Amino acid sequence: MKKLFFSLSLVLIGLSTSYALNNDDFNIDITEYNDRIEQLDELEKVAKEKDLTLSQINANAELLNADINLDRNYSGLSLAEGGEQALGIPSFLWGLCCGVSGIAVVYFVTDDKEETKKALWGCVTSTAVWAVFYVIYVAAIVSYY
Amino acid sequence: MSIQNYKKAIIVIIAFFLLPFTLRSQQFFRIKADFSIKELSAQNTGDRLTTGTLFYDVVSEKLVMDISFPEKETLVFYDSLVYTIVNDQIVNQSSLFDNFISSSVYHLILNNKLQNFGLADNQYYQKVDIQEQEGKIITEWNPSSTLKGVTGKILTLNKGNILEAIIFYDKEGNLLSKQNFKDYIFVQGLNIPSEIIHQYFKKENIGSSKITKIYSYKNIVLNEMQNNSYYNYNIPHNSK
Repeated sequence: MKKLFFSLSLVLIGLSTSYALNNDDFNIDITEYNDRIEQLDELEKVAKEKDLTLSQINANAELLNADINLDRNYSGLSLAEGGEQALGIPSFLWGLCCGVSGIAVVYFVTDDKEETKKALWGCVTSTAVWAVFYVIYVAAIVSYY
Repeated sequence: MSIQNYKKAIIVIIAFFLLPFTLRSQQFFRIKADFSIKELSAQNTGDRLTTGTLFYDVVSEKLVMDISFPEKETLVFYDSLVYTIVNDQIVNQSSLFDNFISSSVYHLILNNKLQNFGLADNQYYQKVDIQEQEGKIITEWNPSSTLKGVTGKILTLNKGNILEAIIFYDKEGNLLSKQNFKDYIFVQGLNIPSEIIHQYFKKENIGSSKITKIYSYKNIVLNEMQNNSYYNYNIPHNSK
């Protein structure tokens, strides 16, 4: 009987182990971007050495490596943007359905201020709807008595 | 009491009074680093490079990014707002979530919480499984009952106390985003990743359309006492 339990335990442990990911599954492979990363490295070096900005580069095409495919219209503020939707769910719905915790998820996953703002509006809308519902509910109870 | 015992007593008393200073020296409250962020889209719609120097102070809770490329400007993340400042004038102001700063990787690093990405203290996730593979620890975090059915699990990969990677999933188990924390450097007793690779997938093209951001950090300084004007950045009241 003990052997049976032991064997079953081993099988269960084996199943749970096979369910887990390999360490390699965590790795992000960026080798496909190596050429583009090198071009951005070169741009970083040149921009630092010559104290260049993007608008200066846009005004003078010779300053830039012709091979590089650079977004010609962005600002540092793009660091706080991105347009991601947390877990594939519109941010407004996050705030609407999950309130403050939904906003937390949107921020936590997307790190995106615009998406977080949408979640905030969802939360505000949800609160407003509940407030209206609550007022109607209380009014109905009061009128009943 | 002999002279020997007096000496011992004096040493103990001195050690007792020095203890708070010793403990305080283990606390980290400021981080400064030169950074570069390379953003690459799978469709090659145009790469982006952002470089500059960042300053973060745990006490003032201001994250200041003094940007040199693409344009010379300063971003100040404070409270629930991010300000874009050029020539001491606010040229843009946008809203953020209240916990933007306290959830940032810089805050996690200084508070020594990066090893679990702050999940151990997060009320919305619970540790449900730990497995060891090839000397590394994979921890599974499931959403709490509040978020069950809405979001999926998170997996963290640690080697010792070092966080090497984190993966986010949706409720169906689809991969949403990964982050790799690489090339840790030991700065004043704290392990800090000098490169973070973040890859995430757009909703409409999960599995095919991915955005990759490579964050690189150099010249990392902790608890710097200079540059107070950055750490306690005085946000101007005027705006264009």
